[in-house]
Amino acid sequence: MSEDSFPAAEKILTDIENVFKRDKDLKDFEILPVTVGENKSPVIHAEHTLGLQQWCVRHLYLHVYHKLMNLKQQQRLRREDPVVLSRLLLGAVLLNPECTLLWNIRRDFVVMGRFDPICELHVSAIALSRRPKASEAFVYRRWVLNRIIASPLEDASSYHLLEEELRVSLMAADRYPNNYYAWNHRMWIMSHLPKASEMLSAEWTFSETWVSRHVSEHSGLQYRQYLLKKVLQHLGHSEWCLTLHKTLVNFLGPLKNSTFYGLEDFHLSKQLHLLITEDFEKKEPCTQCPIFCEQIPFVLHVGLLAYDLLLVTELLTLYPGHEALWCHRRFILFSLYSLSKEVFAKLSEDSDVTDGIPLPKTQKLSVLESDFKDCFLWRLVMWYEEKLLSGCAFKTPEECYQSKLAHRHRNWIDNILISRVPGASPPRTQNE
Amino acid sequence: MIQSKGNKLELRRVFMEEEALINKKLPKELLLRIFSCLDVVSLCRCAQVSKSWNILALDGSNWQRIDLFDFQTDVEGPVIENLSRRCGGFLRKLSLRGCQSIADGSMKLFAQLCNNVEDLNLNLCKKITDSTCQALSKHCPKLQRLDLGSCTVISDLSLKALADGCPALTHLNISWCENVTQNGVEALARGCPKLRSFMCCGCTQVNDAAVNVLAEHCNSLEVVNLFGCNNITDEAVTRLADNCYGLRYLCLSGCPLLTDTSLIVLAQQCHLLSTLEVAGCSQFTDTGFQALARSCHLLEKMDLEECILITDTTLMHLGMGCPRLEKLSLSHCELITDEGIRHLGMSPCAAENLTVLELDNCPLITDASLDNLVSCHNLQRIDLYDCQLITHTGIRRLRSNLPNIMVHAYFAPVTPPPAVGGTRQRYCRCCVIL
Repeated sequence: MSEDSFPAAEKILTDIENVFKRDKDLKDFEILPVTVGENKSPVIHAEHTLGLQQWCVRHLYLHVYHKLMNLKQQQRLRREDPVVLSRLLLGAVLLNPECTLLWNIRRDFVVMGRFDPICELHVSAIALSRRPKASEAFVYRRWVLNRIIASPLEDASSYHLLEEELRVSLMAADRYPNNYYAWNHRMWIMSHLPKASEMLSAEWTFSETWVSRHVSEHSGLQYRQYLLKKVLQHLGHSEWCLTLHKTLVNFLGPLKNSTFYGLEDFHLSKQLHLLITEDFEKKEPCTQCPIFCEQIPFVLHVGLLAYDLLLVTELLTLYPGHEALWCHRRFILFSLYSLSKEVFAKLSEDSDVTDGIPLPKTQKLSVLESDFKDCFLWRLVMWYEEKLLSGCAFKTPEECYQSKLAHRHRNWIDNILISRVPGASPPRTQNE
Repeated sequence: MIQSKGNKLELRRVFMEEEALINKKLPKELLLRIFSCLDVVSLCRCAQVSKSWNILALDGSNWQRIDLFDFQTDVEGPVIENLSRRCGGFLRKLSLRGCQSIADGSMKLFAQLCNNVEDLNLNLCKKITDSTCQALSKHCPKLQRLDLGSCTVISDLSLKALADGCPALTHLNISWCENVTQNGVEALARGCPKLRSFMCCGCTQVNDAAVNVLAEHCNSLEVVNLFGCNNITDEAVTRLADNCYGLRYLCLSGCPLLTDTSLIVLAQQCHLLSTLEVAGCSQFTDTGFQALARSCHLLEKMDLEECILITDTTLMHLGMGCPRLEKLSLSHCELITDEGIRHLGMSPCAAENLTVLELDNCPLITDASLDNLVSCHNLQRIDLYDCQLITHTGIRRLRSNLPNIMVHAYFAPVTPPPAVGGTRQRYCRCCVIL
């Protein structure tokens, strides 16, 4: 029935397939808004882009869909001429990458060894170029990748695979704002593909430029949070230490201020405080690592979180009124909160050991909780928050929104972070 | 009590089987004879009826011709081995086209057990290697037809083995076996002089020397397919034409070195030619086709795709000389104009036989051509892709004259009127009456 109504469909499909065969670097697929067709192939190929004129899309898809469904119903998929079938499937997934059934048929053929997994990656990438939010295509990609990485790969090819995946997910993220699927796919890549851990620092830099250009992008910031967690797990001396050195000097600058009077009284934090502020002030770092990442515990953690905190502060002042940034800030604050607790616990443990007599456990805990808010790190962070929030009362409409968001942020700090420390009042800096 | 009941039931079943009307009326020999006319699927069904039918249906004598392509292609080696054991010498014809998991081991066993096989199709069985052919050569001297298309691993050794052991070979297909060279074909030609059909699409290593030896030894060749053997020159075609008068089907598509000389020798020697495919032979001109049309009056199918030098003159001569022309492809023949199609439309072939006409990518064709084709009553399909002077109106006019024609063009189909929503009557009967 469908063959009779549109005999050109097979020809168009062949044209599409020929473009695929001819151009291995094909990047894009687009539907061109040409509603009245001439007697001319609606398939256009230029600059590594495949275009299909709009008038034929409906008829083509109907043809392909009915044909595939008939074959499926009659259970003749396996016996159909593979040449015909492959072009039917190609047209089908290009036009509708959301259809799970179509991808499942392709899966069948990959399992049977009739379709090449690398070609499958290409096809799904092209399908994604038009519908960057097709989750099925991403799922399929992951399935194919799992098959590919199941066998050992050469270094060159695994780098190639990784680069290609990063390119595809970036393309999809670029084309559709807040494309959760694309960023989710990127996370999967970073945690599953071989050699991905070597790309971590490059990704970290990449994500910084991305979030500074897309300040409303929740998914992009979520990816940054994922990276942060990942980076914190694999910390070590690297070229990053130099950048972090500058960050820490900036970040810890206010500590020298008189506003933090009386800090020295707390012997627990004094140690670290002195170590950090004094050593960092030196102009020429004398040892190999400018921040002594080997000697000072947690310094890398603090540095990384401080880096993002400063970044987000800068973005918040530059682009007021974006909730995504505030959410990201909360994530950093919470990480800093956990970290401060950890630092504090570590320090008190150390001091216990130096005293020689470990405190009873209950007592230790209570000391921990009551003194926690006095840890210099936490006080510094709160000082930053106060500074930011006090600067967020403006009048223009988008700034109004900003102050609304700031208000929410303050509530969050009060309710979530501070109430967690029993008996602690909201910390206030002395200049208030 | 229960036991006796069970016995009774069993007894009754046995009697039933013996007494079933069909078994009573038909002696076993006749049943066997009937079974031998059934295909694989029906035989397997019959085998499940009863014990006695099972024995009869699975008798080797019924399994003389087996084609698994329409039945099941994802069979494994053991299936073939069981089949070979069951059928033994009875098996005459076996098609395993598309059974990709079949490998040498089971085929060797097959060759040993089924010595009388005459027709074997192994198209697309890509795991098959030379050792299968060597086994066939050793055990199956009666082999007449062998299809090894797309068995890409096989080489000259296979052809040499076949030449040694299967002198009765008449049909051989080694398309896309790209390892085959001149040596293999020469050996084959010497060993199998009865060859009538030889197909070697895409065997780029088959050259003039190979075709020459083939033509010398196998004079009864009727079907020759040299698609994509791009080293072939006029010399090979000349030798073929000189020796094989009976040539009916010749495919020289994708042999760009050929010139008009080939067409002229074919015209002189091979008057029985009914199918000629010369797609991509871009040196052919009107002169060659004129000669061909004057002497080969039996031509039915011609593929002239991308013979870019031909003009309306060729069409005029074909129209006059080939009254049986059924299928004509002129894709990418960019010099063809309305005038040529007019000649074709007026010729005797047009009115009676012409069923398929491919004119895609002929940029000079206009609607006038379509008007000239209205007398072709048998025309079933016309290809007009990329003929940009053809309009929707022209096609509609052609359709109104030839209602059954399939027009292949890039135009969107006329959308069928949307189905009238809800076939239910708007009023119930009583309302109508009221």
